[in-house]
Amino acid sequence: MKLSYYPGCSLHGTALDYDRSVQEVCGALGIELVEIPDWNCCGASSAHMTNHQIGMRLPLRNLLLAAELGHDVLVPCAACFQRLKAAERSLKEEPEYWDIEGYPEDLNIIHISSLLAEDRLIDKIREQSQVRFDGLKLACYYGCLSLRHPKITGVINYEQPRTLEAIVESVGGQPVSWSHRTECCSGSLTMARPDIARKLVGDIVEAAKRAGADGMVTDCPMCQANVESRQLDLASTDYLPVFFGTELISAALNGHYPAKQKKVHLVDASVLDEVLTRAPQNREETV
Amino acid sequence: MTENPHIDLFNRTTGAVMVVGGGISGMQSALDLANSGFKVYLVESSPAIGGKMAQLDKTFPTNDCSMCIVSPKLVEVGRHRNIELLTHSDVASLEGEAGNFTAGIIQQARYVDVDKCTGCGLCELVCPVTQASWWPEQPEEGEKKKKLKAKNKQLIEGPGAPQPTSLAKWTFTVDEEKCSKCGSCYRACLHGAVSWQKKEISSIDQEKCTGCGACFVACPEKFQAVTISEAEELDKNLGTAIRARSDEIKKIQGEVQSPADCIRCGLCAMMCTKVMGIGALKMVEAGIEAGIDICQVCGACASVCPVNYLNVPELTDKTPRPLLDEFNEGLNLRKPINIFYPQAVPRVPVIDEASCVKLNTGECGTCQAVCGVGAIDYTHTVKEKQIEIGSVIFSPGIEVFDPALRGEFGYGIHKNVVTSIEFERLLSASGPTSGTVSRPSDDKHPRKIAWIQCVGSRDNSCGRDYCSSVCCMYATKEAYIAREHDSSIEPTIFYIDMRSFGKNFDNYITRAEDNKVRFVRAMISRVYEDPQTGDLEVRYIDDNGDRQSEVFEMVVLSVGIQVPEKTKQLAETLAIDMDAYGFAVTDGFSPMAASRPGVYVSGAFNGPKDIPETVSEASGAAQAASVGLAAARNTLLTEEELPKEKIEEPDDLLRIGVFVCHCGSNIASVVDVAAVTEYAATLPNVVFADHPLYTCSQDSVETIKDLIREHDLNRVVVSACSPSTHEPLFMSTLQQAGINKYYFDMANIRDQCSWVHPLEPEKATEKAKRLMRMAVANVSQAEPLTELEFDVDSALLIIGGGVAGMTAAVEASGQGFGVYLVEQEAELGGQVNRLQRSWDGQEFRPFLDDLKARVEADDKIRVLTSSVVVDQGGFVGSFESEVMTPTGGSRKIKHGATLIATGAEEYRPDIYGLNEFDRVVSQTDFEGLMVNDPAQAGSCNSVVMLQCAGSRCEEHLDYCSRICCNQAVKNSLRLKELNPEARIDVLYRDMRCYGLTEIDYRRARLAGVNFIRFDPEKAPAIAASEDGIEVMVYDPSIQMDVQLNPDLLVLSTGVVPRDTEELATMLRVPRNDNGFFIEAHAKLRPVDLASEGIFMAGTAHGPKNVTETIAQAQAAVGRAATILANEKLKLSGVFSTVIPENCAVCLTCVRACPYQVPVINEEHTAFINPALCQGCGICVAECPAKTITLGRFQDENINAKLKSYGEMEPVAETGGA
Repeated sequence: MKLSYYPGCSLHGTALDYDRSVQEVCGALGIELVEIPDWNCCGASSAHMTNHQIGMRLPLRNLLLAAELGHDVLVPCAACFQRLKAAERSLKEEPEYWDIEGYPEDLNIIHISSLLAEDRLIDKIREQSQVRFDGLKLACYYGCLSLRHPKITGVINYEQPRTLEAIVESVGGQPVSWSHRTECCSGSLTMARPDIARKLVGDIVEAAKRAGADGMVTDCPMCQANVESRQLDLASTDYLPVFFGTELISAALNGHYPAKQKKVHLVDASVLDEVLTRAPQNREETV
Repeated sequence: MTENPHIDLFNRTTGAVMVVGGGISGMQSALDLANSGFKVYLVESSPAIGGKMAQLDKTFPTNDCSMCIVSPKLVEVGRHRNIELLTHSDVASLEGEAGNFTAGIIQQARYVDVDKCTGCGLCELVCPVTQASWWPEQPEEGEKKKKLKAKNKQLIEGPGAPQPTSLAKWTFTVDEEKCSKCGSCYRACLHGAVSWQKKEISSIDQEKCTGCGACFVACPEKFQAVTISEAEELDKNLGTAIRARSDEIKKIQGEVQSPADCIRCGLCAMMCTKVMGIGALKMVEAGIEAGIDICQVCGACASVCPVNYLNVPELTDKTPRPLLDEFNEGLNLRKPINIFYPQAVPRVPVIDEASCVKLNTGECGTCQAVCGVGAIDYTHTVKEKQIEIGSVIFSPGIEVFDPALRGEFGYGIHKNVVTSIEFERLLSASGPTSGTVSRPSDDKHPRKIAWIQCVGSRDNSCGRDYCSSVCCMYATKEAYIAREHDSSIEPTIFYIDMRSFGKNFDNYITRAEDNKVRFVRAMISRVYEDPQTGDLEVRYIDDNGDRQSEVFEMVVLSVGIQVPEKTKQLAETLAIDMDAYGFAVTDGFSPMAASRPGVYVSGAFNGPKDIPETVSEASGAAQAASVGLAAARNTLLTEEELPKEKIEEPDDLLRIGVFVCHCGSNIASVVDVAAVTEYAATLPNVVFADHPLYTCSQDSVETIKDLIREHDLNRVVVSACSPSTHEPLFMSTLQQAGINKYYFDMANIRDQCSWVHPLEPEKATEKAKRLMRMAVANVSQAEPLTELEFDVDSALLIIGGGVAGMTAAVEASGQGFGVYLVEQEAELGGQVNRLQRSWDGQEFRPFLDDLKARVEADDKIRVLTSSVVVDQGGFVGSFESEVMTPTGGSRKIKHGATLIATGAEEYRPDIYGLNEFDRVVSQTDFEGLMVNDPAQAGSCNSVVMLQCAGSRCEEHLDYCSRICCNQAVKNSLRLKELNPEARIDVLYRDMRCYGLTEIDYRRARLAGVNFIRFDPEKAPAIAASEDGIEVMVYDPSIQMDVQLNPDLLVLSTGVVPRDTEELATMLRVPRNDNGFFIEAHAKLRPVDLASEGIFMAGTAHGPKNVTETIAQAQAAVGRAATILANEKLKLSGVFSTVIPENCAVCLTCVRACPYQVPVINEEHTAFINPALCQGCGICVAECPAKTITLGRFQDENINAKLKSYGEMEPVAETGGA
């Protein structure tokens, strides 16, 4: 299976480790990623709020480059995914407005979790895992952009998604039941209104803890950075680390969680470590 | 209205109708048709009739128990000789055309013989299966079954060591002839009770044996050398014996609630190996070893474990799939063999092919073994059947919206979020919690409960644009009743518009508010669950625009109604058109006629509606479906043949039978019915007493008949519910058993005992005994009464010549009845003469002209305009009325039934300058203006419409006129067509665009019509003068006062009934405070009046639109046909008789009778016409000479009851003074 790969700026910057884990997991599962040559900004940060033309033309250029490659496009960043899907929708609805001909009908833009949560890949992850995170309670957190607005993302179960839960279960983790999975993390306000960010992140983390979570799992680099970093402003020092789904899978496939990766987190992420050091024994017992 | 192209003179039409769907709609249609001379095939896909109404707890707005009022209908349908019930059946095809159809019916395999089954429910009780199984691979034909070998074994350990028991012990012995000396039994025995040596026959030491059966299980199937003896029920089969021993152990040691230690009874392993043929369980030292990979997950082992040691999920590597009870909305479990619900008709179980072990692997067979009447037959197959019919009524009903499509509420994820229909089952006494309101997550009694309205209604985002019409009312009812069950409950209903648009509905809302039901106008954005407590946080924006958050312990989603996919497919099979949502497409002027001629629709499939409207439509559909078959009436009927009534000899001894009803748990949960029954048996002359679960169920009634014959009973007493609903049923049972039906009495130990004394069971039991005993005393004095038969006049008198009256006239004539149509005005047409277009946009004029022409051309219809009915005498089937004609003369009319269709008119109060200034008009005026002078109307650039102008307020009309919201929407859209630039502001309190009219409301909003809501406390300030109009209104959506200066102010003033005071007095029928006639029963007799033979239709009943009026007119004719189609009718045997010898002709009775029946005859004595007497007994009580008697209520009866009351020993006070 071959996919075009659109990393976007965050995976080449603040979420470098996300990029690494995505590439590694896809490699291990037999998915060949071809990075879109000369890709540019998706238009998520300031462009789409500044100028509609620029906000659309930027992702459109990426789509046209992807169309030349011909494979479906894998997008790990939720914001990038949202912009590319918005551009695709606009292009399909009004091709004459954008004056673009011949854009392929069947080119799919795929967000990472919905790809990995496909049955056949879940089975593969389960089979290839070296260890299982038995007993690790994780709060799956989707945020907003990979799901909403459903008319743009095309997601059917946008209120009660299950893809991250499926991923967590495939590596033996235990997804907790909680209600803040698709709440806004305030990523877009994190700089401008830290007061709001503190409140929203505080609510989310508090809810995850109340559900008994040892950590959180996400597939959005903004949520990951925002929820970890804004916790540092909160009164409680009982921090919850936020893992990427691919980070978990990568650790499960390799059978260990590298200290280097652990250090990338802004809060203590040793829960994963601890479970993994227990894990081999767990495994032997059940054999 | 039904087209009636040909009355078939050659009788080539088929006098039978197929009714598809056995809910309240189908049942009503079937009964009306069958009672007016047509054969009915009632086809229902589920195993029993009853539909959604049977699932409901109470009904609005009267809080009647739904089951209690529907159950007599269930029974009547089940017993009716001219209704053939085809349950568990589907319509596969419909060929032919109106008058002569052939329908193909597929009868699903039931595996239980309906004729043999008594509905005892024993099969369901003993069936061990509780889960949907994974079937082991079945051997190819001719091959032998392979023994399953477990690869993955799991040990089930208890909290302590197993404690072997010898309770209800079985004896195991080795059959020496069969023993192959293999030693399997020796190895299996954990107690050293088996002795064996190589090449020797083994033997069992009975001293050491605990009776666990490990040897029996271990002995290879091909030898079967270990045998059981001294096992109860083993003669039936092993499964039955296992169940019997399990029950016996439970009985001896008491029910164990929490999982306990294994007691080594061995029933689970025997069940798994010898009954189910799996062998996944084995007893070992430490507990039970489970072969989790071969377990078929049927749940049989756990269901027979007497100590709850086994837990199904631990026994398997698969996720168990419990069998959920569909009737209880999956809130509890069922068995593969299952009676649909306790009061089901027919009360015959069905075996579910998917989960029954016998039907899938050939093992088990326990139900067949236990059935005493041999009703279970595993060889049933699907049967096909063709039926010949003249027309079809399609009333398949609806399902509720799947709330998972509104994911923000977390249904299916948050355990304490339930649907409204699930909540109905939680409230229901016969539901999964026996009427206790407890929440699913932890069975806790919730205190704060929220209802969220419009889940799957009024929602474009999920393709449900329409309003479901019933949810505002049912949510209010559920909240109200929940507080009746538990007064600590604090209900809150979150709603958009309160759509209580029906008759007396607003009063009901007020009552609910007084009863602490809180109403909050807000849409809920999301429901959050607290993972630790299961409580639910609800967020919304309040009226002030502030964000609110509130925690509830339970959330009920008021799910809308929708047409099931299966129904849509069926409608396609029948080739009838549906709209985008799957509702039937019908014409507003012929509301029940489907697109295919000869097929009629009724109920919620014909647009969302509540029960009374459904019942009304059902009668209407019955009428519409039969009018074309009138010539074939009475051609396919089976006459009832009653056995000859036994004449009592003077020296016959009294032989009384007493039946004390459990009424499910309604009575039995308070009154000790067994004790009452035992007591009954001790009373003089009582020769038989029993206590059935539901005495009124069809099987019980059949049983009573048999018992009457078996025990030669000549009097019967039923201690149960209300005689007003159930007495006719039991009386006809007596008739069918050949005894006079008045040899019967009922004691109401439910409404008058268990329901009112729930906290004092002992005293209630004593009271029940006393009530029963008084009934026994009464029946001991009973006399046989005879019922008079008389001829029926087949003409119908219709009072009122508007759309309702004319429609009814045409339909009744089509049915073959003569019609007298009396109209007080000079012209026919009524209020519709003044209206332009119907709610669905059709012009009235051509419709009305056509209708008038048909009435006038019909020689069976005698029209009397400018005439008034001034007197009515006689009785149902044989009335005589006097009509004053325009010449001043009067004429006498004979008729069998009367229909009141006196109509209503627009209310025109002098408010806001109406009737004073040209710029202030009513909706009717405005509609007229747009038709008559479109140019002027279109020149209006700004219009304000004020809703509820003089409605829903105490000074004017205190009710909702139902039609005004739709009128405003319709007129707004029309003005937008004339002048797209016009600004229209509709000022409203609640937009009550119910049903499919919600779509027009949305259309109006999209067209730019501005809707501003106001509270009556902040009513708009309106100043109208010659110079103009100024309106100040507070708009809550922008939190600001708005000033409007419209060109035109249009007032929605509502509807008032015509003056019918004299008519009502003369006909002696009641009207409500607003002057609308009161139906005989708000729910189930919506077009009948309390006086037999008098019906009503149209706006005389309450405000409604033309389509609803036509439906009601057809319904009224349908109901009248059940009288007029008979040649003869019978009168009640209960009437007053004057014994002339003692009559002093004092005229007391003449004055006292409210029906003016007694007269002084030629013999100079008082005379009471038995046909007119209503049997109320007032004259009997008033007569100073005590010379009037009333059958069933003689002094002997009353004295016997009183004496019996006094004989009772006083009940000891339990605690307190």
